[in-house]
Amino acid sequence: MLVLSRKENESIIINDDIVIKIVSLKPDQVKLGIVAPKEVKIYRMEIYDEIQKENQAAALTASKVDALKDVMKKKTE
Amino acid sequence: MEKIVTKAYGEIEVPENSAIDFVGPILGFEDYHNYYLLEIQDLPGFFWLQSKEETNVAFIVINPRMFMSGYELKIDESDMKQLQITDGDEVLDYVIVNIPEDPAKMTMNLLGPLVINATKHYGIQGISNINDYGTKALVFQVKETEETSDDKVSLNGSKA
Repeated sequence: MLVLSRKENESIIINDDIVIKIVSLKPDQVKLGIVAPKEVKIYRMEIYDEIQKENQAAALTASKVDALKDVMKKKTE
Repeated sequence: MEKIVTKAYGEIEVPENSAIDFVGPILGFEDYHNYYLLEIQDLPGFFWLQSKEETNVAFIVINPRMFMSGYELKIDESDMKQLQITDGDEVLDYVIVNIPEDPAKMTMNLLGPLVINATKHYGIQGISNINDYGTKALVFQVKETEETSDDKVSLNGSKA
């Protein structure tokens, strides 16, 4: 992993068109400003991780269809 | 017809070339790109999303509007572009459900909706831009709130 030191208000540029700026620095939090083309997807890493974890859990539990049929029957009666 | 092996039903026949190519992969399953969308027997509105490459990889998906009339699909344009939608294409969207020990507490993943261009056979898992949407929305609690406010009409209406 490339590690760079930056101070408040300093930036880095990636691939000619993505700029990431350190907007503010606190002891336990960094605020980043990002300028990037519209087609670049930017998400907090936790969101990705959360969806991935949920997908994996869903793939494992997907076998309980018979129990689900009973529940649906009751719910729609 | 083409023979495929499924997790739920073993070997079955499906129309040829009916697999959906997930050009935007299902997160955590990046190795598997092709899936079949199969109706679940005796469970209207529920589908299996069965991997073509790995029999054991299969998800249960639903149209969230069946349980949540105000559901909105809102994902990045760049994700939608991967589906190469043009005029007249049929576009479907689903969410993956997770069935716990007690199926009445089944949840749906509203944060990572699946969108499918059924005409061109492309699919993606997008990320919802709606802040309230999480990965574990209770399917039935949502319905019950609707039932009380709409006096059960919405339940029957949304199922049609």
